[in-house]
Amino acid sequence: PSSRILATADGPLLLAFKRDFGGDGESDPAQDIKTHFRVCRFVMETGVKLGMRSVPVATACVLYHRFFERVSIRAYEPYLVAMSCVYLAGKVEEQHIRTRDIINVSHRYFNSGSAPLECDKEFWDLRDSVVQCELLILRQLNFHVSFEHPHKYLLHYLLSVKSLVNRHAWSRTPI
Amino acid sequence: LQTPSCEKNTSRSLTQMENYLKGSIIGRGTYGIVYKVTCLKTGKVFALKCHRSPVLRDEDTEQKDATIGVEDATVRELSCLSALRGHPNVIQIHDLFIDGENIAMLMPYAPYTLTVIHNGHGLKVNYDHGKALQVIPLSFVAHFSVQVANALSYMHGRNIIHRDLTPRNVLLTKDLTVKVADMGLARQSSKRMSPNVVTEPYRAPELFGDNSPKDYTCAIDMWSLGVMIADAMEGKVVFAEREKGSGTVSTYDIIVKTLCPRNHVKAPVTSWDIDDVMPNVMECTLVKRIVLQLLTFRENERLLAHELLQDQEWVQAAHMTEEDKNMVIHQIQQQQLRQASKRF
Repeated sequence: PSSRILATADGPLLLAFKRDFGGDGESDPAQDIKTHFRVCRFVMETGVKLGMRSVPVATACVLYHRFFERVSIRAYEPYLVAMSCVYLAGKVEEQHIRTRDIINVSHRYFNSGSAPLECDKEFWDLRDSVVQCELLILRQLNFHVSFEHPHKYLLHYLLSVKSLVNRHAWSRTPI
Repeated sequence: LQTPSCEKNTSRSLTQMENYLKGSIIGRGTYGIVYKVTCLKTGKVFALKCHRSPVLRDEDTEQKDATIGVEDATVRELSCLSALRGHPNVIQIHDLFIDGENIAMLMPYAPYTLTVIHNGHGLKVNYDHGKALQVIPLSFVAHFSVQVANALSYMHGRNIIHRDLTPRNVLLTKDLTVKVADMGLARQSSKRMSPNVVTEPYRAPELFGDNSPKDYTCAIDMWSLGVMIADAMEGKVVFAEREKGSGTVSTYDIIVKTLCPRNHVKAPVTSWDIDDVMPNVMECTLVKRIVLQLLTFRENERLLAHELLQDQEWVQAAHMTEEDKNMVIHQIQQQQLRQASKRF
């Protein structure tokens, strides 16, 4: 897995990804679910930092899950796919987000406190990766990129179990 | 090192693309260029829609906030077309060529568009001797509107709004079957959508105003359909910006002056008589009833696509005889000749 680091394998690690899984390449569903959970948390955090509305963020997450329903998590770097999903979701939901912003926010997410990326070859390589990965997602999903969000059903479900939830916890939940 | 790449498939697409001979340009827009292409194997004619290729690694584009990668319009168009596959009144997509960053779509070739309704006369041409000659039969107006409504009811049932319904985007096949095309602006309906949609004369009143994202519904497509019917009756773009007295009156002002109800907050001080704006529509009881139901100022009172299809009288009026069809095709060919001669 160490070889699967974006387009810039020779440069210093651009985004120091934590590898959540072992190097044997065997699939471990429990481990994969954990990884997907972490990546989606990354998508949401990135989305909030980029000032995205909640619908595009939800779209990005759905795109991400749909993509990995079709391909193995071992074939593509999940965080790169997530960045492309954010970019693509912006296009689908008419809230356009620049690749530069996505890359900068992601860079900060993985290397907190470090300076923003220089506009050099590494940056361009990373941007090309995001753009190419976007096309890959589109092709894997056969261009089916707009859909009914599962989130709205979840939202109604949550509202229906409101009375079962600790009132204090509920008041602090942003719904 | 594993970068997602489409190199493997590029060579395949290129060999496929070589099977088609590029002909004349049949359409041009912000999205790119549409070519007429001929399949070298079968001799069949198709339309190839090539989306503008975005420039990668261009410092200028980065500053101008430009899109890189796949264009928004391409994403939308493909996702909607794939969701709407198989409907007889929606344009189909036969094949897709991906060459690096460029995406080209192969679609059936439709020889005519609905712009024929803008003939400057409406249904009849009046000659000096007082005799009127019918040039477009009423059955054609009902025919195209029913078929467009058919496509719209299918789209709206899937929660997709077209958002750019104009005569240019309604294609007609050789036997005058309607194919709704150009889904570059279409999207799944949701809250807070961009208001900068629909070509201005076909834009519903609720879309005008400031640039902030708005909540609107599929009723905006029904407004566009209503304007197209009115256009066909009058033979011109009814809500086109016009000169009046000292200044220009915008599309929105015309709509407010003619159609805004008196008890509405936006009601104008002086209103215009609708009989002056669309006289031919008001003359025909049936058309008047349909158009006024589609052009209601309040979006929640507007007729929906499936409701229009339930209107028996209108659906019956949509039956075209062979003679009617020939009349329309003759008109279209005349118009195409006029445009061609204007160009030279």
